[in-house]
Amino acid sequence: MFQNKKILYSVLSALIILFVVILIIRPTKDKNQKDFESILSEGKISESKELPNLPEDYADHKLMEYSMEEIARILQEKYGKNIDNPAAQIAMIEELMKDLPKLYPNDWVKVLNQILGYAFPNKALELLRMSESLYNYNRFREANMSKVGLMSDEARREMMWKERYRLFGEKADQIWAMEKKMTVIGDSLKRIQESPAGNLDAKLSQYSQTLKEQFGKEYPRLMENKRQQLTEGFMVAVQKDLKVLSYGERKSALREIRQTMGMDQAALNRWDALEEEREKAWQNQQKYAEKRNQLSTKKGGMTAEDEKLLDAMRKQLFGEEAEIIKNEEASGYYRASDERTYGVN
Amino acid sequence: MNSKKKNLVCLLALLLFTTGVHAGSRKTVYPVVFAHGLSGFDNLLGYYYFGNDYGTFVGDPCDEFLETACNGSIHSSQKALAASVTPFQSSEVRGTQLADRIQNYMTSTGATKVNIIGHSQGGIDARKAAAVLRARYGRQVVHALISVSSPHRGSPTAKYILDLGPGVTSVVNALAKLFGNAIYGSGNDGIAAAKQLVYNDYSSTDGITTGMKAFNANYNVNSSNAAYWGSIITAQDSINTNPALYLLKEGFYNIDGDGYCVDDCDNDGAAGKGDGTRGNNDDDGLVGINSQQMGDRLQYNECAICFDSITVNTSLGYVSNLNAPTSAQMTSKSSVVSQDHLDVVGVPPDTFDEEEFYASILEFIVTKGG
Repeated sequence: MFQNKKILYSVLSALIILFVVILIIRPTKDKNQKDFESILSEGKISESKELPNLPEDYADHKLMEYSMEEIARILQEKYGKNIDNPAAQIAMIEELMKDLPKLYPNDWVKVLNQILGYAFPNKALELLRMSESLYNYNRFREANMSKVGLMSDEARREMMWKERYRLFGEKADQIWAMEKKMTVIGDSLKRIQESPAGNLDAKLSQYSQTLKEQFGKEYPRLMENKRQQLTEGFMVAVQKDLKVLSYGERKSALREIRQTMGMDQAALNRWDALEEEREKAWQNQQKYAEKRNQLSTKKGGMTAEDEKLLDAMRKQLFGEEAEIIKNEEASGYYRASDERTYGVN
Repeated sequence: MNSKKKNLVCLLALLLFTTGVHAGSRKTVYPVVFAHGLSGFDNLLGYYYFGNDYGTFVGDPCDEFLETACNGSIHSSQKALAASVTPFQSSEVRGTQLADRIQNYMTSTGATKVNIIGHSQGGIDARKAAAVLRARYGRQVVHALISVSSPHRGSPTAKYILDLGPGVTSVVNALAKLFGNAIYGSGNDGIAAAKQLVYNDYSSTDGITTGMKAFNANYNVNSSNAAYWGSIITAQDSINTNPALYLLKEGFYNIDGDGYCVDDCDNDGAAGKGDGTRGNNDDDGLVGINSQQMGDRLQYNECAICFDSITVNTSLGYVSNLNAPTSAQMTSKSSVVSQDHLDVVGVPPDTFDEEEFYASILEFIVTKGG
């Protein structure tokens, strides 16, 4: 009986120790999370303060060069007009969260709260709550990095959006507005790529419309910065359509696509010249590949004479690029076996 | 104004200019092409590789004061391209693709030259692209070529994967684990990609010559292909390395990458031999420091209360022959950026300020005439 009790006590003691150890080592909130929680639960913001004048040349300097009061004044100037917009809020918070932890590693959350309170006393708690969400979102991304990399695009999107909505609520739509727009465009291109060949004009019009709808008044700016990438994305999506056209028809279709995407006359002329050059290069590649194939498959393999012949042919057909093509072949890469993507290569 | 005062004003202006005291980077003369490493983009615009989590590409300038989906640290008229090539392929293939993309961009915009910033294999692809463009245009097309964390002299990780080291069941699976599932897309060749990143020719019986040694001989630092060559080197101690880089639970991510010898004398897949100590900040989780210097070694000066800047570390000298750096160039830890291989692109954890980092590279390119 005594013996059994002894065992029982030992087991119970071991369990208690185990429980305490688990309590100690279980993943806990870090100091920053605790600081956020403590400030938010108290609901206290820093006392409002009369802020100094806006520093004259502040745009030429980093925020952190200034005092907390001056930073708050600069934030009012930079973000005040749009402070109700979650995208502006997150941009402001990120700007602060980039450098505050480096300067105040132990209490940057408190400093952040102070600056937000000085700058936007009526919104300070809301902004601090968003800062907490951003901090937790970054921790979530870090913790799930490996997992996310191996997911399908759809599964990854679902997981990320679920967490964004959980942390930021409906504001997530505005914070990730650019990503949402690009996803719509990517999906539109995917649908075009998967659709049967034909109706190139309708596809182009649909794509162009999607871009305009998504970007509205930002459309000209988008095109100024990304015209080539957006055009190339469409070219890739309509390869089925381009492949069935004759050289002349294709040339005119490519020109029309580029024109619709807003390229000027000079750009269109440059493209006409490049398309001709590439057409010739592809024909030369085929001609050369046939000869190489013929020489390499003959009985006894290639002789030194054959190598010389190929060298001469490369120089004649590819000019200065001949040496590079020779290097490529030595490494096992043959351009002629590349897939041709009309309008792209 | 008397001549003394004039001189003082000129001196102050010069000081302001050379220390880069202004709002972020100036506009580069030529557009900047961002060339990505192994793995692909999340979408056609390449936002995530060289971007933040909100869909903003580090090369997107802000045109209005309050515009938010942009990089406020670069000039409002900056021109940049996030070029996209096959995620997993050799640099012979990817370099030619990169040249095509750059040629397309130049044709659409009328740009006469470009600068290239290449991360990881992107820095290797960029060397090939510069040579292809030189041949096609009959002149130098790339002005500044800057590599970031590039394995110019190979990576032991690539050889470990090809050798199917303990815990590695297939090349493709190992690359997918490190870089994500883009490898399953058509046109990708994980074995060719891995062979590219081993210093020596990986197999003497496959009838082809692969690896960085041969590639370097063909596409070395060369002033006719680009006017300026420089590299940024990353390394971090294993405790801070991104878990995504852990190939194995036991941790084949800690490369011994700071010993010197000619070529790959210990046959680990990278030139140099290691100094016998792994955990001493001599690799970034994938690439050792002895593999990364090309041209000038650049120093990244991170600053919380001023704009970040890039300067040249002149004490180590210039690597003009990628297959023959000096002992100091392969082993010195000076000017090494304390980040892992994935920190410097849009991969969390996100304590690194990519927007300002790349802005500081753009500003540096301006100082080099690009």
